Amino acid sequence: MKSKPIDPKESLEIIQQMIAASRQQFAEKGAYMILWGIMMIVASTANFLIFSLDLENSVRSNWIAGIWIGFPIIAGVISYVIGSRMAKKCTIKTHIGSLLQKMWIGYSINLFLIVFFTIQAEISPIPYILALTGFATSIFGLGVRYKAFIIGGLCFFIFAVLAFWISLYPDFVKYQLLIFALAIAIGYLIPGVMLYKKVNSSKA
Amino acid sequence: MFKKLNPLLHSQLRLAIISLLSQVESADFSYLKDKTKASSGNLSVQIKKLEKADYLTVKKSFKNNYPLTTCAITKTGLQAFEEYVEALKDYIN
Repeated sequence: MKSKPIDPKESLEIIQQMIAASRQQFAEKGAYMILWGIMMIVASTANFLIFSLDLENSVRSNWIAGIWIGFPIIAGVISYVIGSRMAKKCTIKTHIGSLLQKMWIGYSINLFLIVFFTIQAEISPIPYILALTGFATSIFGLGVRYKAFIIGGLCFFIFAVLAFWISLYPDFVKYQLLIFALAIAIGYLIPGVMLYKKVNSSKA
Repeated sequence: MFKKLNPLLHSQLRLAIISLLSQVESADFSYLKDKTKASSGNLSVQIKKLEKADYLTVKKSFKNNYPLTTCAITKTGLQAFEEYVEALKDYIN
């Protein structure tokens, strides 16, 4: 591109091209989505299997605590490695990007509060987590203008309602873990994979 | 009567720089170079012209021991860009 004068049509084309180019930066987030999606599906399925085994309550509690502390730590370390690699490449800061980053921080704080207080109250945190994740995923989809996440967010709401309904039947509460795994796969992992593929195909 | 197009923005590269920066909070030199496909020398000259007109700010820092030049559009720059787009509409229509 040179610094020569242009005609109005060329001006319009340049503006359109540059605006389109500035919209590509969200796509890198797909890698995080895949990582956390897989981690949560594996953790909730493992938790369901532990509930299905005939174990002493204290042993069962230790295993469950181990899963929900251990897996996020592993995913957190991998996220940190991916994040520091991306930071070297990252050369742009957008208004929407900054806003979404703050939204995910707010999401994490709310997630912590939900898990902490529902465990104190001895009720299942899953329906609340699904509703909160549905909200965050939909907003993310609207922010990055990617329909798969908006649809994914709506799926989370449907699964949240289903999980709330199951809460009414104590014998079936453990199945909330399978609903959780399914919700993560449909609402979070699949859109994440689609976004990741889209980026890599546009890079090739 | 057509409005006069701002001569500072009515240039391929300067318009591309301002269009990109109008969409982001900030962007570094290599990002602008990558998207505009301009040479470093030319890009640097055009950025300086826009900076002199107070259309953008340039911040120099270091990242991983490498110099990092970050550009961001100013209110004046954004206003000039909006006026340019408005004027452009008359020509296109």
